[in-house]
Amino acid sequence: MLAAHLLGIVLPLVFYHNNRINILLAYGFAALASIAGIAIAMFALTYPSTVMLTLFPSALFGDGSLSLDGLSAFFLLTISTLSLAVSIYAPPYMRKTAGERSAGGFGALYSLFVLSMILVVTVDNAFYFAIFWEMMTLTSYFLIVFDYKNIQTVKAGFQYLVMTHAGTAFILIAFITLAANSGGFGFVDFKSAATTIPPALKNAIFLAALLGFGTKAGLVPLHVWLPRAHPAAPSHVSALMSGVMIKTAIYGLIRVMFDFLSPLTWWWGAIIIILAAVSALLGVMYALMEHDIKRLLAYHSVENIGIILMGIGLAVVFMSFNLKAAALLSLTAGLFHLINHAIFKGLLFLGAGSIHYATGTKNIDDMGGLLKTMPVTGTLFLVGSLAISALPPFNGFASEWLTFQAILQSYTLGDTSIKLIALFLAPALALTGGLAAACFVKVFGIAFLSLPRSECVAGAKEVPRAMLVGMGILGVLSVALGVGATIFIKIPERVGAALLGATGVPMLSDPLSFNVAVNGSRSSVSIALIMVVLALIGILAAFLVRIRGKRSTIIGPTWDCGIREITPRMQYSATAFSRPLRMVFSGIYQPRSRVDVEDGISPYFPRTITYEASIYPVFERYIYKRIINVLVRLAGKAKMIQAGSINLYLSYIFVTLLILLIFTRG
Amino acid sequence: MEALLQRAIIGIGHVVLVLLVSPLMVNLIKKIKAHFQCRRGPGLLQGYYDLWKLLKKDAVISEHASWIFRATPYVVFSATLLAAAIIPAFTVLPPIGRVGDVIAVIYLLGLARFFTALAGLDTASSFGGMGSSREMMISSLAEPVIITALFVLAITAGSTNLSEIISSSLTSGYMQPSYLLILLALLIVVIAETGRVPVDNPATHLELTMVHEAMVLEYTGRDLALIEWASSIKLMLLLTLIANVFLPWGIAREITWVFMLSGIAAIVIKVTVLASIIAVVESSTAKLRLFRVPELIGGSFALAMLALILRITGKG
Repeated sequence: MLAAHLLGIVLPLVFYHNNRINILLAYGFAALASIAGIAIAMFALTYPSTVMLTLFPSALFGDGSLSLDGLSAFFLLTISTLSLAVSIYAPPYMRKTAGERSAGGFGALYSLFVLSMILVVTVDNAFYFAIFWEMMTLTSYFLIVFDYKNIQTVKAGFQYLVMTHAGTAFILIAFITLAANSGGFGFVDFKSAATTIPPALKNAIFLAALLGFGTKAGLVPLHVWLPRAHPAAPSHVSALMSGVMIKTAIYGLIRVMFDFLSPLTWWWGAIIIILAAVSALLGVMYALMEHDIKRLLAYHSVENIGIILMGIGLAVVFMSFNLKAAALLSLTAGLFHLINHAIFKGLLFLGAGSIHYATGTKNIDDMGGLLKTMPVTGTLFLVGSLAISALPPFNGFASEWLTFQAILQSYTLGDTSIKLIALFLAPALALTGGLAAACFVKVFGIAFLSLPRSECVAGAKEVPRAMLVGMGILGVLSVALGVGATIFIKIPERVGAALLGATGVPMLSDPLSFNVAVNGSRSSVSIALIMVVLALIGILAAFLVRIRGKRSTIIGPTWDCGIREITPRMQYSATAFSRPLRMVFSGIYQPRSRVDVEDGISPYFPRTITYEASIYPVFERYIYKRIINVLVRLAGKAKMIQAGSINLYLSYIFVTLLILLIFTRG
Repeated sequence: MEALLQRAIIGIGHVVLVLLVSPLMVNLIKKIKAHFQCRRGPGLLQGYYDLWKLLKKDAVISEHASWIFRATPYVVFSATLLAAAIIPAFTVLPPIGRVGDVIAVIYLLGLARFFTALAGLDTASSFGGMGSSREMMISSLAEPVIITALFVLAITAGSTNLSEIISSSLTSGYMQPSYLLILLALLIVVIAETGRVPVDNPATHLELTMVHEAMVLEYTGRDLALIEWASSIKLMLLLTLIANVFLPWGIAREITWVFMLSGIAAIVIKVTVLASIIAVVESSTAKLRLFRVPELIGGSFALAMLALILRITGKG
């Protein structure tokens, strides 16, 4: 079964290297492989049996084999679902983006990228994990720099490469330390050695893993590469990167913590939830100030990684206090939000891609009125916006509700200080939700409503059907996972239960509503019923309105205070919309603005006014600039020994040889 | 079967009560404010006349508007009414079953607000955009306050369900330090959320000070009726929430006619008292500058956080 699936992934690659022209072939096979992936993941999730497939037998590092336990299958499901939608969406988009250039290499890389993500989450050997991890990083790097003539893109790609490699170094440290203490690179070896590693070393491994995976996940303050690199890639790749690639880091973190390092220590969880809260808040705050639609979405990925890690961090805390039911709830919430985020973020990135496809711009302040010219894209984008703002009855609400319940559970913890830290997540999550809603009112309101703000947007046309289908799948899933959350929740719940060793907690068992029980009293919500009642009242209201006889609707101009006509320039822009919040949080943003007025005849009738506003990139300036300065200085020092003289280099080699000989002799 | 019928009657009764009483409360506030201004003010039933009149009128819709603008009144009305239906008014029982908890209420109001703000942007009028922008700022700051305050209650009850919260405040007592703190915090937030002085002024259509009114400026006729009704329901539901959590007197704990009727009387009286307090606050304070509002909300957030800390450390 797995072999068939792997074949489906590998085949397009093999096939594709011979036929470098056909886009359809690459994405067609990717779509087929994704369907197979979904089928296999569902099979593995319903019949919990470890499927094994040995790929590379090796005496030194142990066999590199693929295994599909619950966690791997869950991530496989997430990846495959999104890659299916993206693969359907991609062909027309790619045809336009590539233009004259050959899209063949890109297609092959795309397949390789998806394949390497799948291998990362299924392989069960640290050595091969590192190889596939690297493969994933490199393929995604090449996908990012597709538009290599743009200097910004190249810069973003370089930054991505440097930062993720620094992260990979930390992951390698964690894995090598684990391997040195367990006598093998296999995950099985790691697991069996979990109890023998001394606690201090465990802490070190945890910190290395957190740094390493945190970089890839885009955890603040390691997030700086993310809002640059993700938008630089073509949109369907951005969707995959933001939707699932950063989730592989979450997979790694869960694997390392719950599988290799248990029993867990509470302050690990504390660190994770503090970083998670900071990431969520700063992610959404920076998103609010962003007017490039793709960068904005990328910042929202930082936010949502924060929300996911809230659940996972809480699970660590609960496990360390041996509260298994609460830990299961938290982990379930985290995993559920993970797949939800993959779906709605994928949808939003594809939507942004469609806008770019139809209008050629990514700047929200140039858009407007797109709902009239692109009704289907607009409606689907609205679904994604509502879901990411955690509004009922969409899937984002379901998982954030569970996260709130997980936070509430923390009052059963024994320790007051950790209780405080955990409960402070509640206002953090609420503020995140509120700001996310504000941000998406901005995006949707400015981009899709009112009047177009530029020529190219006014002439926009709806995108080809394949792209709509790709987005449509994700839109339907957003609603389905919200309304049918109680049915779907069984999957992450079972995965979590297997991981934590908690069995049969009757927590979310009602088919119609979520019921979370603590100390006898329970909290419940039924999104399906919310949906039904909402529709019912809506119909009732329509009926109520009809009671008073038939009336007509008159189309008239908008109230304009008596001037001749409303022009697009009079509308609120995205910059204006987010100004109140920029003022409120000016301590964080440190906004800079410049107004240039060019006087005409009199200062009261200026000829032109230009207004420039920007926010101060605090992290880049205060943290990274310093590190880079130190690095440059060190490199300057290193230049001394790199004089360029061959004799000198020969003597280096000689000295090294001598030292090595002394070492090996001893 | 009989139990089910009973529950159905309670549910419908609850919804009808909310629908009927809410315009009265808004008008009551107007009347009291008029009294403070030495005016006679409109009659108490004026709210009903207005709704009845608006429902009869044609709707004028902007030529720039999309379907969002047309759909918004219905979405806002349904989401608000559903949120109101979740909050128990005259019995401790959940009025329409276990559809949702207090988090669902907050996010349903969020859904209504999301659409209202979109509609504000939809007509290409700069007033609408201004209103939406300000409303989203105020509400996103108010949200953590509400959630924190409600979490204090939820911790006491061990549940986010409103029935449980109200039952627990009936049994464990409502005169606790943390409860008093969040009562104050919630009152401030309710004023901000319902767009009342000192945060916003519902009586003005003065261009530069409007927040909520600016968003719905373009609505007319039946659409306006639904929007207005929804905003009066929102006021009613937030007051009901405060009334039943902090002053749970008189709420029916058993399903008998006597308890029910006294429960209805109790909730109407409690909400009337709270509405009068709001009217007095509105009449005796001046509207704040927009950028002073975050300070006010920040203050209420501090109160809520203090309550949370008190509650966690077991000191109150």
